[in-house]
Amino acid sequence: MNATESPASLVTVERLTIRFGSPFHPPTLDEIDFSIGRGEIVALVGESGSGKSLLAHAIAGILTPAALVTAQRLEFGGVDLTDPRAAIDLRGREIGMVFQNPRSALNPVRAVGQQIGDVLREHRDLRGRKCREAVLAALAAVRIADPQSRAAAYPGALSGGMCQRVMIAMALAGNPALLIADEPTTGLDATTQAAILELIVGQARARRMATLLITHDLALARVYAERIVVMHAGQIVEVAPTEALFRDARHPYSSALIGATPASAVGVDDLKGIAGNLPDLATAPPCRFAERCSRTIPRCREERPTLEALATGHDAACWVPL
Amino acid sequence: MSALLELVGLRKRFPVGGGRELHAVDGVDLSLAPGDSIGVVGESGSGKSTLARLIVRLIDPNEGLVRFEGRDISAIAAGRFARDPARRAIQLVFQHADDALNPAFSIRRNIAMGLGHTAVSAEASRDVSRIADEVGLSSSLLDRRPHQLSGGQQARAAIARALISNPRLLVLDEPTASLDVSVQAMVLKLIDRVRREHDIGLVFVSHDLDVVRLMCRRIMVLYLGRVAEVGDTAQVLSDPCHPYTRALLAATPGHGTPVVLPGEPASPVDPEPNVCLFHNRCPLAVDRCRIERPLLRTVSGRQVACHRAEETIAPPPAINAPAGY
Repeated sequence: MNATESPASLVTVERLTIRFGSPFHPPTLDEIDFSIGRGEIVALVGESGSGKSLLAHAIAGILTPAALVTAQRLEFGGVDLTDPRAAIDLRGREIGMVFQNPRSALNPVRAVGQQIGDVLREHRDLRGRKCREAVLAALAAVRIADPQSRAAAYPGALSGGMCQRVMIAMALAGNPALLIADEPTTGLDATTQAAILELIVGQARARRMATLLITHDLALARVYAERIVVMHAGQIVEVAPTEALFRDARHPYSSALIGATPASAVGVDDLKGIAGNLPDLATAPPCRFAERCSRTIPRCREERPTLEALATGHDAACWVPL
Repeated sequence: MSALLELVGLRKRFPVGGGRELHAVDGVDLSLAPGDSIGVVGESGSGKSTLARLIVRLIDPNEGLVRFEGRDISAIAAGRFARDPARRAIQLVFQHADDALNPAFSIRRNIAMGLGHTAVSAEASRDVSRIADEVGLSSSLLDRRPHQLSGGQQARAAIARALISNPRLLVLDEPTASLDVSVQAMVLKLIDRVRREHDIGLVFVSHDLDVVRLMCRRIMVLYLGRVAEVGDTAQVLSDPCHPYTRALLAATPGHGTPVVLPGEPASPVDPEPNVCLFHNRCPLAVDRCRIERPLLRTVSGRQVACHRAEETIAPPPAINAPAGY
């Protein structure tokens, strides 16, 4: 059985391919199979340029019109996301989003309370006093002290961590079944990062809200995610329960990524770099990791490895798994 | 052995208008031997980058001494230090290698600039080739412009430029913060190797405790320009004494349950001189912390600025324990 298929699946992605330019260009996302269960916290990890955000944007229905999308299935709770109308209905209500750099995601010339109010009016149909009360409740829920005065503040007057709390309040306002957090703490201080992630994960557990946490930091994914999806150059290379991945990574890239993470090294000599860079997609072999991999066999350059279940819930796409 | 670098009571204040001043670095002492390494950690606004710039004399301190190989270099104005012989012996590597390299120059010329002039003589060109080889930059890249290199290659070029003048002190300000982990790993190994091979003193500014743990023998934790704790890296990180160090460590993924600190850091503009600046967020704060600035003192083998440092030594205090004063 393929581990991407589960009865309580909230998001189901099958053979999702995204190209830019023309149908003849190499795919930027290459036949992605992926799912998120209801209430599940999944981390999507990989180096910059691996396609993590693009996959999240496809699920949230916020892809640029330039993206050429083909998919066997792209569903959210049984609704077909390739239908743009359906996607608009879900966005903000069923799917909430938090991005990196909250200050640029907020409108600088409107008070943050007004911006949260906009979301509540749109998605929960609240007006007047009820809306104002819900704004204060939303700010209190993300543990902003003194919501009354903070609601009147403009984003520029709030710290980065505080702005991110406001973004989370907006994302949660529609009471979504899925929260997509795209590098939500990059650029924030360590103690602020911890507070923001505790908040996101705490809310996810309390609301039974599925969460897709996109990060380049494996150590962070290990703390907060139940399952980890590893991407490399537009391909999913491994999907595994968090501890299984760290104990027994099967794809050479996942293993290399763990070996390059400072948190997992005892001394600097234990750190392992990964040779080379992300490949040029136009010339990349079918397994796009082949040029950087020490286990490459001729088959890697001839045929794309598919995600195969190697243990329960543990899939890897490699012809010569570890 | 005499110290390579000594800082004594170093202070830097920036005017912010209205006669008020931002205290970026507020009395830092440090002594570093040749070949030794110290990591400077802290969050944004802790003064770690200002400290790096004071050490390499890009800016002038308001008070205090910077001694390099026994010679006081803090009296030399920052503008004149560029022509001082010590300038070449002290090199700084910045966070964003792409901003630090001159986009109009080839990589070869960028690296040669570490020698202090922009023209590349035949001799300089040989030095560039040697140093590029040492940092793992292939010679085919030397004639390219910075934008034609990947982030990791740019970082190597920036390090090569710093190394070409045979420095004895290297100050690195978040050298890998914008790199992917796979590239970061290689750059860190490179920095560690050149430190050992050339016996270079290393001041490594970072927000990442794990990176400092791997790279540095000692660690200095800054909070709002003041040293909270300084000591042997392994000792400080395995058993931190300052409540802020503990919070910072707990906030680092993989080092225990995060402690969520209440509130926001105090303002660095004209801070209360006679308080512990961490008291408003500290789980251990007592009245004394609000009226008396804790000075650095030795507690279980390291220096820590906390009135209640003894009580943080294992076993950790219960959260609601009554104040011990």
